[in-house]
Formats: sequence, C-alpha cells, structure tokens
Amino acid sequence: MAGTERAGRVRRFASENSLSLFFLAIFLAALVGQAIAGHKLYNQEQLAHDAEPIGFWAYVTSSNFGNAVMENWQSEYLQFLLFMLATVWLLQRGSPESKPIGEEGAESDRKQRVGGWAGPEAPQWARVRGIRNWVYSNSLLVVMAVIFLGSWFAQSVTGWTDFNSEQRAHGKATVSWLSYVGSARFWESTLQNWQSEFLAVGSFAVLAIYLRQRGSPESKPVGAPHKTTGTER
Amino acid sequence: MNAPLPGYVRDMRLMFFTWIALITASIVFFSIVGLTHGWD
Repeated sequence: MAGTERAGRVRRFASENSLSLFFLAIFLAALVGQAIAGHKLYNQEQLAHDAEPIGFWAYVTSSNFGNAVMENWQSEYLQFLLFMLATVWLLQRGSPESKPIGEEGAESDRKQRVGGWAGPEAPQWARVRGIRNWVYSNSLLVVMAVIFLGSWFAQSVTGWTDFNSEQRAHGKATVSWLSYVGSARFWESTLQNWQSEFLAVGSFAVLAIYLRQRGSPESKPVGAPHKTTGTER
Repeated sequence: MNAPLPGYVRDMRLMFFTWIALITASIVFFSIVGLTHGWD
C-alpha cells in the first residue's frame, strides 16, 4: 500500500515538474557530451604539440572546459534578461511575445496587484511598500543579471588562464586579466555568442506573428488573427 | 505549530533551489578555477 502511494507521489512529481526535469536531463546529457568531445579534442591538440594528454577529470576541472561552458551560459542569461527588460517597454504588433499595443511600461499597482491591490495569497513583499516591493518587483531581472555577470566573469578568468597557458606553451609572454578582457580573443568569443542569441530572440518574436504552434503558451492560439498582439485569448 | 506544507509547495521549492544551486556552484567553481590558474 505504502509502495503504491509512493509511486503515485513520484508520478505526480514527475508530471508537475516535467518541463524543468526534461531540460535538466538534456542539459546534463549535453554537458557530458561536450565534456567527452572537448576532452578528446584537447588531447588531440596536446599530442599535436608534443605535450602530454590529460585525464578526463583534469579536463572537466580545467579553464579550457570552464571557458567553453561559461561563454555560452553568459549569453543565454543576457538574452533572457534583455528580452524580459525590453518587453516591458518595447512592442511588436502581432507577436505573442509582446504586450498589447498601448500597454507598454511598468503598469499600474492595480494591474500588478501590489500594495493595497495585493490579494490574500500574494507574496509578502508584494503587499508591502518601499524598497522590499521594488526588490521583489525586479527580483527575476536582478537574479538573471547576477547570473549573467557571474558567468561572464567566469568566462573572462577561465579564458585568461587558458590563453596564458597557451602563451607559456609557445614560449610567449603572459598577459594580465585586464589586458585579456580588452583583447580581440575575449570579445570575439563573447560577441559570437551574443549575436546568435539576439538573432534567435528577435526572429522568434517576428515569426510568431504569422506562424503557430498548437498547444504552446509561446504561440498565439492557431485561430488567433495575425493582428492580435500579446497572449490575450 | 505550523501546518505541514503541501507536497507541491515542497516540490516547487526543491526545483527552485536545485537550479539556483546548480548554477551558482558552477559559476563559483569555474571562477575559482580561472582565478587560481586552474590545473591546466
């Protein structure tokens, strides 16, 4: 009996959290795949330079691997935080990703259900006024920005270390962290990630004017007119 | 004494803190790897 109850709880947990569990699983699978392929590539390059190959654990705890992971992370978080911030004020007529025309801005307390307009189940910091209300009103953006800046910093220091170890291997002078963050190498790897994120977000907002995915909250309903802006149904 | 939290509330908190912990630990780890010149 207890076993059946437990199985029911696990099924409910898996179903109610399936979106994040799915992405967690494919994230980990892709990361492991990247580590395996990256390790092989790294050792091919070591052998080509008459250097010793390194073990798998040494590779996944290296600046070379960390740099490859972090440069992609920072751009993803930048993409989401910019999209979230831009859609407060900017519009795209016909897009489900845009707010309806005329509703740009931070919106009224009544619409946002804060302060006196907060319901009985509203989060505590939505009910109060002042700094706590401001912090909670922007908490998603703040956390995304901290993750973006943190992973960008991690990209910079791992890239710096990786660059300096290459310099040493070639008998050349090492550089300071500040020189590295001003280097073409750092900005090329940063901007090649940014451009693809900005393209994907911008094109997605526009493609969804005329195209649909039945059942997805990211799309307008299939029968919604092309001119419908926002997700009102 | 507070009433025990419903299961779904515990689950939502678990998911939230799992993702936050995963991201924070990775960023801190690779920052330290880079700053200490790693094991390259």
